[in-house]
Amino acid sequence: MSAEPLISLRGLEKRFGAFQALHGIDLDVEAGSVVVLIGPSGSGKSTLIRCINGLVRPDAGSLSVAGRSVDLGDEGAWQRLRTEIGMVFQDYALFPHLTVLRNMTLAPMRRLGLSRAEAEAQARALLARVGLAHKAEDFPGALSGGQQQRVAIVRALAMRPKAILFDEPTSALDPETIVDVLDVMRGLARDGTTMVVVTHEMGFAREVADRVVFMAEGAIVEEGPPDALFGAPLHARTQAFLSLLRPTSEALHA
Amino acid sequence: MDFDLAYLMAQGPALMRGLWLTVQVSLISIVLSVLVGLLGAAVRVLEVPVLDRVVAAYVEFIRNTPMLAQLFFIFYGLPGIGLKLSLFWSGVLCLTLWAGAYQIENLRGGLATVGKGLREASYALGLTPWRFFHLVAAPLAIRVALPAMLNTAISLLKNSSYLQAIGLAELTYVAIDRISMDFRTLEMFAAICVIYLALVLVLSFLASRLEFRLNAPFRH
Ligand SMILES: Nc1ncnc2c1ncn2[C@@H]1O[C@H](COP(=O)(O)OP(=O)(O)OP(=O)(O)O)[C@@H](O)[C@H]1O
Ligand SMILES: [Mg+2]
Repeated sequence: MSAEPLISLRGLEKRFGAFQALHGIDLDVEAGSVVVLIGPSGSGKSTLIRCINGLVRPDAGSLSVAGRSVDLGDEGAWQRLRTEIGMVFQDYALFPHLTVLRNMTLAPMRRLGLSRAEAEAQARALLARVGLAHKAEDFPGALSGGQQQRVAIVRALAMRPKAILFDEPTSALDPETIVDVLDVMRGLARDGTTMVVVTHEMGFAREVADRVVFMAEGAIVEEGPPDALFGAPLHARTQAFLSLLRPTSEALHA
Repeated sequence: MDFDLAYLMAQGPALMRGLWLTVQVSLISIVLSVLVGLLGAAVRVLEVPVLDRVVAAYVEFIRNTPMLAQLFFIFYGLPGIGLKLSLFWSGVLCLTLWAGAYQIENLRGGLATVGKGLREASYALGLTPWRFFHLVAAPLAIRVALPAMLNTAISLLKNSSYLQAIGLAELTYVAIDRISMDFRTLEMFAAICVIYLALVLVLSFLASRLEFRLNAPFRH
């Protein structure tokens, strides 16, 4: 068999009070692959993705990353894990009082032990990669949404993570700037970055995903390569969800 | 009785000594009370077990008792349990504890405006709760809380005049002391009111400069 997956979830459960948000989730993410999570609002996509870095604490089940199993109750273990797994949020969440450069050097200096010079050189190189080298000294508020999100992506990359989680990274953006962000994500995928992406961009999913996972009501309904999942979904629940999207989805012309 | 400017001029050196003590005791207390405010607000916001209850009780105690009683407690009460501080440091302790309680509440108000998103982003980068607090939350909260924090600092400065009650020779003490000898009530109280007003204006000016600098990231 192939090497073990980079991220592996088994029997993951999460409750919010009496409400069960996740039911026995099993999920594997191979190193270098792109897994896209889709599903209706409230199906538990954000909860699941947040369980992978402990922003939401799973109640039961197991999580292992790079072959090491994570002690779900140990805050220190989560903190170490988070230095290895990046996350990009819908609302960018850049630190508004720090320049773009400082946003990108803060955690690498504190957690990776880089010197300021190293961290800044790395940050400038990453910014150049996403066409924002000239924004290094600006504050986030002076950037467009798409620019902020690209900074958020390279801020995550600056931690040299093993994988990056994306929770609807383009949902807050204007249509014109969505393209820029998706281009950056395509580039990452090409370079072999391991990504778990929650998105409503079905064109992107089709083109970039190695596997698409469809969730409903806190459970994984089905998963598979994009051609199979979009082209010939097995479950009625998946078919119903996709048929609702079909009219607005740009890339289902294939 | 006319306003005797010449008399006031003659009292200049004494008033200046009082003023200097007022400035020292107030500045030290302002700085320390802001530190108390930051630590207390951190404990409250990060919900440090047990300590957050202690901080809450401290704030309630300070806010609901007279400062003069607190001052007497520190100066006359604490020596009873073996804690004897000088006049000056009794004054600093009293003003710091008093204003610190208000700064905690001011900063807590500011922290409430720092979104959950930035906390999650900090944690997602591997930062600890404490680093999130001092690198992200506190700097943002201070910007919001600055007007309220300035008010507390101004109150501290004015309340430093209570310290005359334990015999610290600050500005008000000097004035009362002179009045008891020369009975120039009008001149003396007019003089110290003008001096306090000037101090408050200087403090406000410094705060507005700080505010301007802190808000640079938000001017585009
Ligand atoms: N902190 C919380 N407390 C209580 N309930 C929560 C919490 N977070 C999520 N939930 C609930 O869990 C369910 C799944 O939420 P989640 O945010 O994971 O859905 P989602 O698939 O990401 O939806 P969307 O597409 O709208 O972002 C929802 O019913 C939500 O109300
Ligand atoms: Mg969501």
